[in-house]
Amino acid sequence: MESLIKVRGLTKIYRTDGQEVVALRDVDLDIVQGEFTALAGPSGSGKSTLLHLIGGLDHPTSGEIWLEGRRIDRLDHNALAQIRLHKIGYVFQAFNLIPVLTALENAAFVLELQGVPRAAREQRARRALADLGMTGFEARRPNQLSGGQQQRVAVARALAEEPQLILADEPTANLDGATGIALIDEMRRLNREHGVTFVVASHDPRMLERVNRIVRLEDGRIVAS
Amino acid sequence: MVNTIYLGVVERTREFGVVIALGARRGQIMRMVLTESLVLCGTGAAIGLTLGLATLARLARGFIYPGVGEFWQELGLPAVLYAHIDPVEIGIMLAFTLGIAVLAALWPARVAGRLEPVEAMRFVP
Repeated sequence: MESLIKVRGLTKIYRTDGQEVVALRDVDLDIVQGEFTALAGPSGSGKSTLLHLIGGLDHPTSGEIWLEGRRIDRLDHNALAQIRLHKIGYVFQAFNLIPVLTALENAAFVLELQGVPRAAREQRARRALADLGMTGFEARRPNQLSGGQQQRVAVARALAEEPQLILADEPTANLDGATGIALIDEMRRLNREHGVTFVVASHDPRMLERVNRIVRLEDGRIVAS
Repeated sequence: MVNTIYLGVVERTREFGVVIALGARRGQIMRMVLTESLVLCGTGAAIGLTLGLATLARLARGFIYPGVGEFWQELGLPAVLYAHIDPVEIGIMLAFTLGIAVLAALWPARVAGRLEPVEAMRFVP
């Protein structure tokens, strides 16, 4: 099967104040459509860096990143923005909802960036919120929602754009036990029912027990896959 | 004015980082900052214009500067003054205000448009 994501010889070096920090070293990875993959490893192992590079949020120092058969590692800012906008959904550790917008407006935000007309984007955002069990919370602002509810809105925002790939960076890190497990189960269900590929950076054991593939990183290298 | 808009951008660096990460282009981010500046100045101009026109409507019926009317008459000037403003002058002032809004937002908009998403999302004000 053709890989959705193909990474070859990926290296990322950060240079600050004359010092070099090697975040990733010569990483190779293939992820096929429909997989639910966890990038696991201790803090500083390179899992967030790998997630950012796969998602076109940063440029590698060397190596290749292919998404759907298209090489993306040397694309400019606007070309990468187009890929992020239309093909990739993001879920962040800190939820990162826009505080002045309601849950519905947050869920519809990416669709607004895409230029989807208001009626259509509200319909899709409502459907995504309903899919995450958030019907009835559409008019609430983030500060009127619990952490688990905010993260569900964040997943709905990613889901509403109907991406092929959702990247999640420590999505359960700020959630308590039961809330975290419920969110993981929701993401697994979306993966099964919608066929969306999930790549999740996490060292949460609750997450690692529930995924069908774990890619372990240590010191910027993949040590098990 | 530049300082106000710039501080607004700095305070919301993380928010801009998220919006860029979600797929906004540099031009969209710059337009957000420019629009905010225009809304800020436009609102100020609308409030100022309303208060100014209300004051003008009162002063257009005639007014005297207390204590100086007689002195002005000695100089051959009328004691009672009547306020007046030309619509063209209002237009020029509004255009000037909106021009200032755009000029003040250009540099902060450029700063916001050049943010890198990963760094911006880690920013602590």
